[in-house]
Amino acid sequence: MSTAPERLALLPDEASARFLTTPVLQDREPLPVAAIDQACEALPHELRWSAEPIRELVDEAMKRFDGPRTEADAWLSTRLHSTLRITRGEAADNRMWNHLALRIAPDYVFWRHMGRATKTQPIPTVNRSRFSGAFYSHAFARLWWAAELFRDGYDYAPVVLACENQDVLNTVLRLEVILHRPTAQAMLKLLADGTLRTGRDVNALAQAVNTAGTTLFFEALAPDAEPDPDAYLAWIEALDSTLVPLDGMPDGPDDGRAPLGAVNTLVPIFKRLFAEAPVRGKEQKEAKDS
Amino acid sequence: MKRLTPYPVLVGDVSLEVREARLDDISLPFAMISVPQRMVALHQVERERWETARLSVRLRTPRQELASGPWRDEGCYAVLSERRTNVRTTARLHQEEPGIWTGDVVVHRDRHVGRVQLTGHVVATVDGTAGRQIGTADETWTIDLKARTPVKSTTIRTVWADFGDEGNARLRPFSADPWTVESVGEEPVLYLNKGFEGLSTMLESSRSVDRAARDAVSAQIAQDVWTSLFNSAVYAIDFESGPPDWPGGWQESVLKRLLSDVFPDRSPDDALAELANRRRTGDGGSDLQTRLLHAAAKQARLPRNLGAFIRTVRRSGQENE
Repeated sequence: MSTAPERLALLPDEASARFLTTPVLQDREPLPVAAIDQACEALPHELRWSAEPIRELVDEAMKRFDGPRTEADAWLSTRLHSTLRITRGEAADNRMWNHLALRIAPDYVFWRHMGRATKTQPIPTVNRSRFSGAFYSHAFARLWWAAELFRDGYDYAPVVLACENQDVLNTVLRLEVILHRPTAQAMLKLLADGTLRTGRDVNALAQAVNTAGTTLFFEALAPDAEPDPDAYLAWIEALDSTLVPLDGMPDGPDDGRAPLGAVNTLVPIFKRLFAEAPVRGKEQKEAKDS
Repeated sequence: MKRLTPYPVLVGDVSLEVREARLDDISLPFAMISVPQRMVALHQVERERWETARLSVRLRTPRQELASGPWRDEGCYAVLSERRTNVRTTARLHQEEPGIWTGDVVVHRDRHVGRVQLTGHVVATVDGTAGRQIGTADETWTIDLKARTPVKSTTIRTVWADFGDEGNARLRPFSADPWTVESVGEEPVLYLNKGFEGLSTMLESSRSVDRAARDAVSAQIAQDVWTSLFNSAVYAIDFESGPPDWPGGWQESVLKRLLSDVFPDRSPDDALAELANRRRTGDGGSDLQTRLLHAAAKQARLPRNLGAFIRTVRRSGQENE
């Protein structure tokens, strides 16, 4: 039996695929830790790759959220982002996420993502992509990226709002239009002011904005300011002198907020798009009223 | 293919060109910029650690048409985007003279890992609606952070290995096979078995008498590669919520290349939807395999190569009689 690793490491996709057998995904067989450790490539001795602070967050999340487990997402997203201080380039490396899910915290993946038994799949199973997969489905990558793409500069409040709605995480997170920060912030404004009330509303808006984005060039309507890359790097280095709070809200990188004027330009446009969009299950009359 | 839009768009050509690239403010040799390939190879052996690359771009728009058309407040933009790192950076270009727009876009090393796409866009107010996209540059440029010489890679990585070797835990189960394909991860790999007698001699032979056999075996390998890449790509399609999404990466390229032969009567998006639907319902799987076999054989040029081989074998058989 290998001991718990001190640091994150890089575990290739093909190795992960080999270890994620059906009995493993059903949590009926343990993950082969020794073989996993052998397949890994080490990361440098840097504080930000330490496994222990992440392990602490994961344990705390499982302790705090004994109700619906989706509620853990908003809490963990911001704290994971603030603890695992990496660049977008580093976050694009699947191998690190594989290691985090398969070796550092597989118990969390089972706790949060175990599926329900269905007719075709009578034994509850975790979807493979929660361990090793696209950034928007991986158990930890989705939380980290949600924080990175929905934060407004150092302010994580929009991230909490986003993560409280599973449809934002499942649908909006993967849309390319939200890579334009004012677009992302404007969509969340509609969630904050109550224009969007249900998951179906969120999906309808997401679809409408995405379609509009094929003919409207949001960057021209609402120019963004370049985020400050040096401020981001300074935030990464500041990890040495920071303890990420468990109760209070942590601070994100102070690399500049989306210009408020740009966000406010898009809000009425998105409101109009939403009013015109078909929402599944919404009555005709209500559609006219809004 | 031009998209149908409910407002007038540019008919004339819009072209995009990278004129200069500066790495941390040092001008990059022009050989690193390939105009015919529309590539910038941002990887210099002498300079592994750079922080920013500033690209000077020029966009040409049809001058007459833009001046006399129904558009107002025209503006041009260059966009850098990479899906893997979720980065999209926009730079507004300035009109140097009618029809010529220039500006700089900056690539930050920390925010990119592989191939960054550079696209050009023309935007204007049309019928009172601001921010309409009325044209895009015909060609996309690629800023490659890994390539050493500017070449667009479309071939599969091939590795010769002895499958029976103790060190190859992954390949050992296939030690009796001539080749195998690993189609997980960011880049698929074709493994050729060094331990399979005669395979390397035949594939690497330059003798013309071996050519027909070599081409036939190569085509067979290619068909296997296409088939297994396609099948892996099918599993990469995400269809859990709403219409299926293209999976990106090599999976998307493989699907796009084969789907036109798998479902010849359908548009790419419809073909993807059909594929997702068959996977979801579990219906039509065997029909799909038949169609796939056809598409993969076509990609591998199997009919031509195997046909030539059969002809050669028949010819040499007749000579022996």
